[in-house]
This record gives sequence, structure tokens and C-alpha cells, in this order.
Amino acid sequence: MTTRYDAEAAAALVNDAISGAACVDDGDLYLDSTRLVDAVRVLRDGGESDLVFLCNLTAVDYERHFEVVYHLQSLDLNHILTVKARLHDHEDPALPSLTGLFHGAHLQEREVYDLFGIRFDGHPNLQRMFLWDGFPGYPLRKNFLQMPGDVRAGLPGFPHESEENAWPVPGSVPQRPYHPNDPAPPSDVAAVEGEEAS
Amino acid sequence: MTTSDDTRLAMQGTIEALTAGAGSEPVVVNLGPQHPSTHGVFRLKVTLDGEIVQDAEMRIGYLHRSMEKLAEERTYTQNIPFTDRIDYLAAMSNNLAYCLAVEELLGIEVPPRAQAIRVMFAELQRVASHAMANGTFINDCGAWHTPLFHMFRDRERVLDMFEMTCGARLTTNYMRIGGVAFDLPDDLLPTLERYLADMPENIANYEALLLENEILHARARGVGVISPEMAINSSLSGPVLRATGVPWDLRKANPYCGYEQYEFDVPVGERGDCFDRFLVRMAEVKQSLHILRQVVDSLPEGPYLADVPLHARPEPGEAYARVESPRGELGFYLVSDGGPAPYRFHCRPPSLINLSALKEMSIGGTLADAIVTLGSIDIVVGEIDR
Amino acid sequence: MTELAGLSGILGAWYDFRDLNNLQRLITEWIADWGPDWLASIVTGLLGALGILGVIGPTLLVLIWVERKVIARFQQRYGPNRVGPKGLLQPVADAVKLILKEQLAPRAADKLIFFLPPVLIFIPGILIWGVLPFGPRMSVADLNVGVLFLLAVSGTAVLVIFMAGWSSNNKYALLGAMRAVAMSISYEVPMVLALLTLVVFSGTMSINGIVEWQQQEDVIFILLFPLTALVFFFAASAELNRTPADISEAESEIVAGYHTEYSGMRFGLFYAVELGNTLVVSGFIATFFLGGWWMWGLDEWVPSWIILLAKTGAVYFLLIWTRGTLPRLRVDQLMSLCWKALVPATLLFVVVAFVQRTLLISEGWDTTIALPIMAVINIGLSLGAIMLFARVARPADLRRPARIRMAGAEIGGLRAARSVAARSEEPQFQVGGD
Repeated sequence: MTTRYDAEAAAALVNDAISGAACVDDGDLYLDSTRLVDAVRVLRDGGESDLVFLCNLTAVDYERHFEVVYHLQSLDLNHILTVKARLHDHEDPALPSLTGLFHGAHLQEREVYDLFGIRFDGHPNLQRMFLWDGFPGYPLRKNFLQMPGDVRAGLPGFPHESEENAWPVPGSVPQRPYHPNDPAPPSDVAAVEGEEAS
Repeated sequence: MTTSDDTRLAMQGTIEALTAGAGSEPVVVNLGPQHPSTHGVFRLKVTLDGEIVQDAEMRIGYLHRSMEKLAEERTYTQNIPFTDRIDYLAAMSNNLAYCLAVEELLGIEVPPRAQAIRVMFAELQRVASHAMANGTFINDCGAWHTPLFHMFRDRERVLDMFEMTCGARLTTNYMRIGGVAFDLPDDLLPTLERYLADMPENIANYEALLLENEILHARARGVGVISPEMAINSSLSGPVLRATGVPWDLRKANPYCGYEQYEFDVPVGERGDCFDRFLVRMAEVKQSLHILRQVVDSLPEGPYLADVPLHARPEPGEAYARVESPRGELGFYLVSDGGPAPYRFHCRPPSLINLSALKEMSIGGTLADAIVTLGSIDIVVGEIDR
Repeated sequence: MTELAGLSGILGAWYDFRDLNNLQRLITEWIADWGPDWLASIVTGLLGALGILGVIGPTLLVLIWVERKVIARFQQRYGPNRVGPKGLLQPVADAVKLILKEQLAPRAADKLIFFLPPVLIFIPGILIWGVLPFGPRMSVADLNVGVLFLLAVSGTAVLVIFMAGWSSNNKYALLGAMRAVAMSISYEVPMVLALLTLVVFSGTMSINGIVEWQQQEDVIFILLFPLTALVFFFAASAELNRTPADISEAESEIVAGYHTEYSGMRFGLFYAVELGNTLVVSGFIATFFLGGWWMWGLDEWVPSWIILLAKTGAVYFLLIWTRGTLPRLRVDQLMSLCWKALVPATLLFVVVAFVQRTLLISEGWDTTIALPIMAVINIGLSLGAIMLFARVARPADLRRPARIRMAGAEIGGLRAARSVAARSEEPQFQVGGD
């Protein structure tokens, strides 16, 4: 149901104002991280884009690089645009802060700084938010507390996926409200499949 | 300039005049992490000059459980219980938003009955959450728990219905990818009918008790004011945004789960003060009951769960799905790398982002105003810290 | 005939019981028969004090239960119902728990000053009972300046509260203490003025004298000076730190105010005194404005102290009711309410009392006719004063109603907001305003 603002149109709008600041890759709008603030200002103040509402600001660690993801929303025109900025320096990532444009970026940038270690230059109060000062490392980075060997973060496969009798074992999952010991009808077992309740 | 502003300025002037030679200095008072009015472990560090707030800084993280990291090690289905614990006062809305995001990744069509059930429980959750929000708000204004307990009664009945349906009251874990976990029990609809029949009278009682209460007006009107421009710029959402007059409701703007089939209205305030937020919530409860009425009347038959493969691995890609939770825009941003678990799991917490403007709302008011403002924003610390 | 005689016998015994002074006189006379005079006066004084202490101790325990039960009923709960029959022993259990709890003191607290307040706060709390007349001659000290004594004693409590707040070395406590001082000092003014009205009108400063005046003139003061009574009630509830004026221990703002750092029985003492003060203030409100132990001849048949206790209970219930219903005012609002509304209103009625008293005494008006007329005039004046205050002193903020509109089909941002706000139709609902 979400109406998306066309990334191509947004790129054209940005590039008209600041040439070469935007490009479209795989349907997503990527902005040049050095000229990010000006480019987002164009998107915010442009009459046809009107992306005045910063819905969401977060980052993703792609192990070689970071992507900071902005979801910008126009309230009056009711469309949303996903804007991304790529940070290639994985050791010391930094990005201009959007706090000058969006007051709502304050806390979200602090959160990203806290958990990813991405510096937002120009943020007035860039401190750790959830974790204490001096917390070692940035937990949402994929290499946080990396295991020895080639063990990657994340889940390699489903639990018991390869075993023959995969869970759930019928009858082992309490099903009915009020009657935890009732043997559950088979349809209910199917309903909770995918939940590690045994 | 209003009279209360005059009084405040006069007070400030008096305090300044009195303390000019006395070598006084501002006092830093920590409201929280353990404090009756912070609704959890939330810490507001206010700098006071007498009773006037000069600076307000929030310190959070006491309830940080690193859900976003944990979720990267769990399958998509296993993450649903985590979403209960993000906003524990609106677990259904959180379940729903997360499931919508996963369904967007997987490209799953949800059966109509499941959608109606989802709407039903999301709206029941809104009634329960707003009851809590309004009750604690009046408490923050200094009432001796009476409105809170009256509203708790309504919430209690909603929680009973949750328990009837899925066995849990707070952390429901009821929505599933592609539908809901169980079909409605036989006695749910009669219970809901009774509830819908009783609620108008209860709401009339609250309105009689609270709406014309002069003390409540004096405490909440003109306090914690924020302009619509500033509210949008601060990414506020939900009742806090609507109280400023901006009619932005995702159920209308961006309908999910078939909200477009139901007739309801979006109440908006006028001035963006604490009282407007309270009124908007009161009005939203009525609208929610109206939606519930329609859902009950038009509940379709059919399956309650889509045919979802047990070991679903979404295609690499990303999804951002959001719902209008009782507190505002609740979004889930998921990135899939094709594995069984999300590569990145991010929750856009309305409670946290609605606090963006807390400092601006509080400065210049009294300590008591800051408490009322915080109460009117309706935060859930589990969602702030995650 | 024998039946009637039996009835009159019962009534006669009841009649004697009406005035506990009979008992006391018996004891005094018995001691005077064999002992020195000073022994008699000491014994009677001790008896009175013991009587009061013996009554209020258990009464407090019951009152805790009553208050919790009543508040629970307002809030659709059961209240305490586990310990003892109907939960009646709950306060006892609470007291035992409080006594057994460890007494903590902050390391940086001023130890002596921190230790003293829970003890000192008892002194005004008990002394004030001494001048409460339970019957025609039934008060421990029937002072001819009883009103002054009452005000003086109740004023000292604020010093103790400030000691508690200051010595705790806690910012909440300090804030609470500062608020308590500011509020007590402010609210003493309308309280004094309200009592001054009664003193002027009845021509006596003896508390018993005020009751007797009401008995003589067959009228209770709340009818003559309703606004004064209201102001006294509100000022008293402010002095008692009860909602809507409990800013000095505002739970939602400063945790517990001046007694934040007190634990165990030290807190228990504060709590007990607060309850006791509530009771005694209810008693004084009943005495000053509701006729005290007198009730249109009923006091001939029912012991006067039972009448007083019944009236006290009614006022106490009113105090619980306001507490269970109303939110709290902000500190600056309380101050401006005091100085801008309550003080002028009571001053007005002091003047009115002077004029009407002069008319009664100097002009020799017949009180049976004049008093009802004056009551009507004063009720009218009170209503007028309240309405005038609502017109003049109400903040401009509140004079505009708060409105909620329905967005309808307009969904969006600022532009939609403007078009919704510009819509001329009536808002969905609208509250407040003039």
C-alpha cells in the first residue's frame, strides 16, 4: 500500500541541483556521503518531493562497508523514499549529520553512533546512548566479538533443519489457553510451527 | 502571551532578583532511573532554577537488551516473541508490524480472516494502551490513582480477551508470518460484544470526571506546547503529532491489513499541548471501538493462517513496514541476505523518537510541567531502549 | 408504667454518659477528699491527655483502614481485605512491619537534625488536640484564646518539615521542604483571616465560645459564611498536604517530598501524624463551621462527643473524596490561587463580618430575623465572588476551549493541517472555555 517516490525522479531532482550527488543502484537512491546534507535538503525542500518527515534512520553493516539508510516521507503527498549513503571506510566511518535539517535525527543518529560507531560530523551531542561511555566496540557491527576461525555472525541454518524428525514434536507444545496439559489437536500444532517451544 | 506565562516569568524574575546576591546556583535533579513518574527505568536529568527547568537531558539505556543484535541470530519466526518485549504495552501492534515486514520480504498474501483478526487485536491493543496512557497521564498530573484504576478496568478486560485467545496477556506472541497463531475461540466474540456494549458508558464516565476538571485544565493546557512544523521536523508521530493538528495516521495514509475497508476518523488537536494529546487519545479510543464494531460485524470466514513454508528463506532484499501503533509510527526495517535469520533487524521506536522534542517542550516550564509533558508523550521504556 | 421507668432509667444513664466531665468531676472530688489540690489537677490533666492519646492511637489505626477502603471503593477495588476480618488488622500489620524495618539514614545526612523531625512532628500533632472541644466543658484546655493557640501550634509543624527536608541531603526532600514552607506560610494567611471572620462575628476567641455562640443563635457558621468555610477547608487541606494541594510530597514529581529519605517507623511517624492532623483538622472544621458538639437539640440526648465525631467523620470523608477525585495543582498555581483568590475573598468576608456584627450589636437587630437575611446575603456574595474570580483571574489559556477536530478525508502534513483547522464546521468535541 505504500506509495514510493520514484528513485529515478529523486536522483534527477538532486542531480539538477548538485550534479553527481545522487545515483540509483538496484532501485535505491544512493547519495554521495560528502554532499549528503545539501542533497537531502534538496529532497526536503523540493516542491514535488516534499520529503519533510524523517521516518527512520538506521545503518546496516555489510562487512566491507556500511550503509546508512534514511526513510524520508512526504506527509502531504504521501510517498516514501529510501535514501542510502555508503560508507567505505569500515574502520572509522563518518558521515555528515542531518541534525541541521531534521531535529528528529538527533536521537536516531546517536543510536547509530552508539551501536555501529558511525560518526556523524556536526551532531551537537554525539554520545553513546544505550551503552555506557567506554563500552568496548560497537555491538551491531558484524565483527563485534568475532569468533575465532571462520564462524560468521548470524544463523547458518534452521534448527534441526537437516534432521529427519524436525520439530515441533506433536503434543509437546502446550497449545490451548487455560489447558496447558490438554493434548492439542493436530491443526494447532501446525499453527505454531516455526516456534521453538519444546 | 498568556497569563500563566506572565506568572511564570514573574516567578522567574522574582527568583532571579532574590537570588542575585545570594550566590545561588542551579540544582541538577535526576528524575529517575527509579522515579514514580518515569514509567520504567528512564532518567531525566533536569537543571532547575528554583522550580523552573533550565535544561533537560535524558539518559536512557537502562533497559537495553540488544534486541537488534539478538534478532540476527534467530529465525524470522523466532523473532516474533522479541517484538512483544519491545513495546510491552502494545505487543499486538509490534507483532503486527514485524509480521508485515517479513511478509513483505517473503511476498506472502494474508487471508482476509487473518487480516480482520489482526485489525481487531491491533485496535483492542490501542484501547488498552490508551487507557494506560491516559490513566498514568492523569496520575502524573497528581491525581490519586482514581482515573488510572477506572481505566485499568477497561484494559483488564482487553487483556482477558487476549488471554482467552492466545494464552498470554502482555507478551502475546499472537501474530504469525502469514496470519495469526490461533483462530478466535468461541467465546471471544460474545465477550467482545459485551465489551463494546459497556464501553460507551465507561467513556462517558471518564469524560464526566475529567474533561471539565478545572485543575486538569490548569495543569495541562498550554503546557509542553509544540508547533506542527517543529513536530514534523522532530519526526514526532502518533497522538503527539496529531495533537498539533497534523492529520497523519498511517491507517489512513498507508492502509495495511485492510484498514481501508473500515470507516473511521482521525481526531486532531489544535494547540499541541498536553491536554490536546490527552483529548486526542480519548477520541481515538472511540474511533477504535467504532472500528471494532465494524470488524465484528464483517468478520470473514476462511483460514486464519496463510500457507507459509516452515523453513522460509526470503530472497535477499529489504523491507520497511510500519503500522500506526498506539504510540505512533512503529516501523520494522529488515534486511535479508537469503539466510534463515534477518541480516539486519531494526525497529523504528515511536517512543524514542517522540522524545526528540522533550527538551524543547520542557525548558522554561516548571518541574511539574516537565513531568506532565513526559506523561503526555506516553513512553514505553522497553521500546526506547530495546 | 414499669416499662416507661425502665426506659427513662436507660435514657438517664445515657444522659449521664453524654458528658464525660461527670466522670472526671467524680475523680477530682474523690481525690480532693483525701489529697492535695495540685494532685487533683495533675491527675485530671493526665486523664485528659491519656484520654486523647488513648482515643487517637486506635482511631488512627482504624482511619488508615477507612481511608484505604474508601479510596479503594472510589477506584473500584476492594482495598485491604486479607488481614483480619474485612482487612481491619491490615494497619496493625503495616505498623508491625514498619517498626521492624531497618532505619536507614543517608551517609551525608545531618544525623541529629535528621533524627529529630519524626519525633518533633508529634508535638504540634498532639498539642492541637488539647483545644478541641468534645462537649460543653470537654476540652483538655479550654483557653480563652484557643484560636490563637491553634494557629500558633499548627504553624510550628512547618519548621519540623523543613528540618526533615534539609537534613536529608536529598534534592527531592529539599524541594519538598521548600515547597512546604512556601505553601504553609502562604496558606496560613487565608486560614487566619477565615478564623478572624468567626472571631469577629461571634466576639470570642475561645473555640468552645464559638460553638456556644452557634448554639445560642441556632445557626451554624457554614450557612453564614459559606465561602469562608470553603476557603478554610481548602487552606486546611493544603496545610495537610493532601491533594489537590499535596505539592510538598507530590508523588509524581518529587517522590515523597520531605520524607523521601525516611524509612521504617520514622516514615510511619510522619504518616501517623499526617493522618492524625487530618482527623483533628476535620474536627476543627466541624467545630468552627458545622456547630461542633451541638446539633439543634440532639446534643441533649446523644453524647456531644459522638456528635462531634460524626461531623468530623463527614468532613474527613469529604477530604478523602477530594483526594480521590482531583489532580494536583502546580506550585505557582497554588500560590497565585492563595494570594489572588483566597486572601481577597476571606478579607472581603472579614469586612462583611465587621459590618454585620456592628448591625447586630450596636443597632440591636433581632438575630432571629437578621441572621437568615445575612445568611442569604452572604451566600449571594460568595457566589458572586466565585463568579468574579472565574471571570477575572482565570488564565487566558483556559478561557479558550480545547478543541478536537476530525480530519475526515484530509490526511497529510502541514497543508492538510491548515485546511482542517480552517474548516468552519463545529469541532467534534470541545471542552473547557468560559
